[in-house]
Amino acid sequence: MSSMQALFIGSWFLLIIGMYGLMVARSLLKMVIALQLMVKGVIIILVVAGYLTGQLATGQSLAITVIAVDTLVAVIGLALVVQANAQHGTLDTDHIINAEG
Amino acid sequence: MMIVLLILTMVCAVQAVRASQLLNATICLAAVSALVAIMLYGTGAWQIATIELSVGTGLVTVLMVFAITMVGDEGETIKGQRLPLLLVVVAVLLLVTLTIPFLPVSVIDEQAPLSDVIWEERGFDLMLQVVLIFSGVLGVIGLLATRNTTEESQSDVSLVLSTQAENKQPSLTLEKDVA
Repeated sequence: MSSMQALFIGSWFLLIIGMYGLMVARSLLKMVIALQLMVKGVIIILVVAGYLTGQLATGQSLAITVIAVDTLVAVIGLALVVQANAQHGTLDTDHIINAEG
Repeated sequence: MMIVLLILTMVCAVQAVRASQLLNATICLAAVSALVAIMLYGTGAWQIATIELSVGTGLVTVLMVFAITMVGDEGETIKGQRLPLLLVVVAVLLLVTLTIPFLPVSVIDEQAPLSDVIWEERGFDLMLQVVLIFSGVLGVIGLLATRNTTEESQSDVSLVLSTQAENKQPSLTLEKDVA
């Protein structure tokens, strides 16, 4: 197995770790962090897939799009986190879900 | 070298998920971003590596630290883990059975340079990204805007049509009925 193939498999594990973090996190900010981990894995997968198929430029262009959208998601997610904390006084999802009103 | 970087990335990612303090998790995420940028440089995608280093490691980390400063760093405990662990095992099994046997061997890259691909083949993507970023900025401004909740703003307002004696021109004025 070449290093690129190992990198391809490793980026899948990064995606799985982010997915696990998204499922077990109680804090909204932790969910944003887990989402960022998943997207890092996707970025590596896109570039390495481009490398392995001889289309590195296409993989990079897709990765640029993903980075731009991911940054946007992070910014809006953090703004929502700040607003949720201002509204409920906590970032715990269990408290926010069970809050009245 | 790439495998060593990969193992370090996995360790930092697991620590980012397991950390009880948000600031520690953010720093681990920044480390993951930096290692990802180094690995991307190793694949020959130095443009993406530069962007990932500046945006992922720099901008997103600063924004997260700023958000933690605003909301406070409350520690958290991880929830019950049986179902997530089961899903992780299923995902790993899918990876092993559906992806690894079909991994391609690397071929010679005969494609045009990145600039040609971006500006000629994916120009529409760039326009969409500009629109997305603009809408994101508007969304953040709207989310973080504060409302003025003074008594004056809560009073009833009504439009009154009146004629002014001096010039006998009809005019529309706004009058407030303070309760």
